[in-house]
Amino acid sequence: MGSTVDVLSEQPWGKTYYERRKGWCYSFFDGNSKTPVDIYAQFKLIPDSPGSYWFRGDIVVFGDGYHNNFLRRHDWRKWFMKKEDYLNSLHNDKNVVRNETIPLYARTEYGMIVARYKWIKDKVWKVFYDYGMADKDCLSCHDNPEIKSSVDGRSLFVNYTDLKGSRHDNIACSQCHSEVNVSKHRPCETITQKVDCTSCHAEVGVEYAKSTHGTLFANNDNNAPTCKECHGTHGILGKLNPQSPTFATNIPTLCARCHREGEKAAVRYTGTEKDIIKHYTESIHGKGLLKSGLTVTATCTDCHTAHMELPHTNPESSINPKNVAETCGKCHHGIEEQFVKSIHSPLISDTDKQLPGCADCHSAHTIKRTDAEGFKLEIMDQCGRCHEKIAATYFDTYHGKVSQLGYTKTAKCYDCHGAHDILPPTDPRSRLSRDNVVNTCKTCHPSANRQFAGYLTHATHHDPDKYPFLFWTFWGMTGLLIGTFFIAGLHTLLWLPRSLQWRRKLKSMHIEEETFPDENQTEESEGENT
Amino acid sequence: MNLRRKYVLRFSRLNRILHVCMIISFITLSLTGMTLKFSYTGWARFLSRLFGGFESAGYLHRFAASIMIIVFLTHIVDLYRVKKKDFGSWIKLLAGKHSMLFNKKDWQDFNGSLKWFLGKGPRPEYGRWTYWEKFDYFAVFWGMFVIGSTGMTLWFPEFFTNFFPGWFLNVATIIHSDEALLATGFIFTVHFFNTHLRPEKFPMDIVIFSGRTPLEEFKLDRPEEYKELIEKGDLEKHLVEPYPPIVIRGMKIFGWTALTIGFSIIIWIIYAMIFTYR
Repeated sequence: MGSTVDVLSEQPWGKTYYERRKGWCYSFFDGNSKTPVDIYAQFKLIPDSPGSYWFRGDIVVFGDGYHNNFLRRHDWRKWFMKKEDYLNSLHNDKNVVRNETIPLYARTEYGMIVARYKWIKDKVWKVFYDYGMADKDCLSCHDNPEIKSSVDGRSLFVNYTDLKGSRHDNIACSQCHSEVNVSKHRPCETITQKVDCTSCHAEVGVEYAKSTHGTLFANNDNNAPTCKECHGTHGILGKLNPQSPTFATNIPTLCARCHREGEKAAVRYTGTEKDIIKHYTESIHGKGLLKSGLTVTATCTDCHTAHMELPHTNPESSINPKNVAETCGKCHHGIEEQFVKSIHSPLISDTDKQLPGCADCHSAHTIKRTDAEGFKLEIMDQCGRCHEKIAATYFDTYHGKVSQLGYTKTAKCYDCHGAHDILPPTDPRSRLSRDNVVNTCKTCHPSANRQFAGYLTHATHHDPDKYPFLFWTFWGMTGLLIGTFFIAGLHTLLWLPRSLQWRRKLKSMHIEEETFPDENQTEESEGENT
Repeated sequence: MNLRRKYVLRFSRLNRILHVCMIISFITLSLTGMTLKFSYTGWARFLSRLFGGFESAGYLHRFAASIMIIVFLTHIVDLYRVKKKDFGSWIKLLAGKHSMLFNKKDWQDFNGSLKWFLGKGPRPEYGRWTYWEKFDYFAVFWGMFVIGSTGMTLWFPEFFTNFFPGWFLNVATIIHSDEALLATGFIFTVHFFNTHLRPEKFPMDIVIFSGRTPLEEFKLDRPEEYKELIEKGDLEKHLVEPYPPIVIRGMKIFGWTALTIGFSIIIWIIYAMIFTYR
């Protein structure tokens, strides 16, 4: 049997490849027939956690109608359980940890996917499809709008046109509502379980189980959202369909159903973020999505993930401080590339202190345009939260003082230090390194020179050890001020009583003057005439 | 001639104009400068907005500085002219009785004043210029030198750092701003008291605008100069008619405006120093 292998991609986290090989049909059912078949498989190896791997693949069997028909009827689960060794030989990876094989059926236009199987550590997935149950059999009852559950009276009517217009238009009722038994008059009477979407959407199921939503569900919490709360039931639409509740522009509304202030998720939330939906709507992302209609704008799920949303304290969370840069980098990749090389990146700085992530400067839900005045002024306070001293002394010098007056044209932290590419001045690549600092000054002061760059932009006159010149200049000037004001003030105070006497003397003279009104009158008119 | 309602001319027209220009430029300089010095107060933000932002406040500051430099240079040129016309040589101008330089008489007047303040003697017979007026006069020279030179450094930092290290700009900033604080503080309190607020002049002496002081007042205030004029027989030459009331009112309005702004600045400085100092 010949085989060809096309490696589609090989990355540090795993590889994806196709393998195509000739097989013999008899090998599938104990040698009764010997029809040659093509086995066409796609494999993806993804490390899940150290020591374990996901292994996922589709086997598509190409064959004649007879075999298709036969393959469809075959109990592949049992077969794959038996043929684990055979599957092993397909990839020869000894590190793969396997607990269970999961076969499932789906038709494709090329052939037939006879098996989709996964090994997932510590997780057993039960999937089994019963074929032979046609939709019309179900609809003979469920097409009736009056049909109700005998248990709780809820409507059991199924709008079949919804299903046919949905993403699942080629999925039969019994593929989701499994456990039906065709030999019964009511084949559905054997159903004991609710629909389990993870039969097909297994990866999503794993994520969901880890998420806060999934944990709540596992604890039988009434508020726990399940698949259908967001995706709906029979009328499920893809996320690229604008009608879908999971379409980008609809996601804030979807999440707001529980996370808007006062709703059931918001009242349980104990974190620091308030008015999340309102703030998001006013933020740059919210405006981009809802005002400008940019469907590529970050919505709730872009940062929090769709199925594995976790609080930021969880190391697996997409918004955990360690992961935030990567999360934002999904869209702002260029920024992430700069950031990971900067002093603030945990890859560069080995420190016990908490390093700032994107959200520490840009906030989470109130992200503003960075070219807006408000942001430019606030950012200095953000830097100052950690760099307290250096920020305080910045405000003692010219640039800082101007910025405090509310003007942003002056040099702010990031104008000299950089924003995402920030590096210590000792690093030759830093904007403030010896080779670069003059050019950095020149962005605002075109004729800056080497000595000009020696201006102390963070100086204080309160530190005699670090800045003795400034300290002694300040105290010299202060001494001059105090001395001058003391002498002049004393002189003035001593003068005051004598001056009062002098005023009385002058007044008595004026009174004297007023005793000759006639004379005054004539003099004044004389004065006016001349 | 009735001397009682006559006025003595004390300041030349040029000196009066120069003083008005000086007032305008000085107030502009202090208002725009203080916004930067006390930028952490709400007042500074308000004023800065009023001036149209820190950039236009900066232009105003440098414009007013230029005016002040012109005033200063005009005065120097005027000194040359006066020397030529009235004195003939620098020695005569500087060593004469009307010199602005401190001399023995000032020392005597100062001691006499202290005695008078303490009730141990009569009011000294002040002459053409009193010692506190001379102090104010040289304070301007000192201020022009200290604030002016550091101001130029800060105006053209790229040029001056060709000769000085960068930290010199920080030192210049401190000197410039603290000397300016001294100047504004001194002018708006001590100078205002000495010329306007002291009870016998209260609320305002407009002699610097009108140049005229009533003869009666002159006789009492400057007995020495009066005697000198009488002895020389020059008094008539210095007598002038007063300005019409409308002009006087204009001068008073201007004076009040300057006084009000000056006091507001003082209140602002005190507020900033006491409540928000850092």
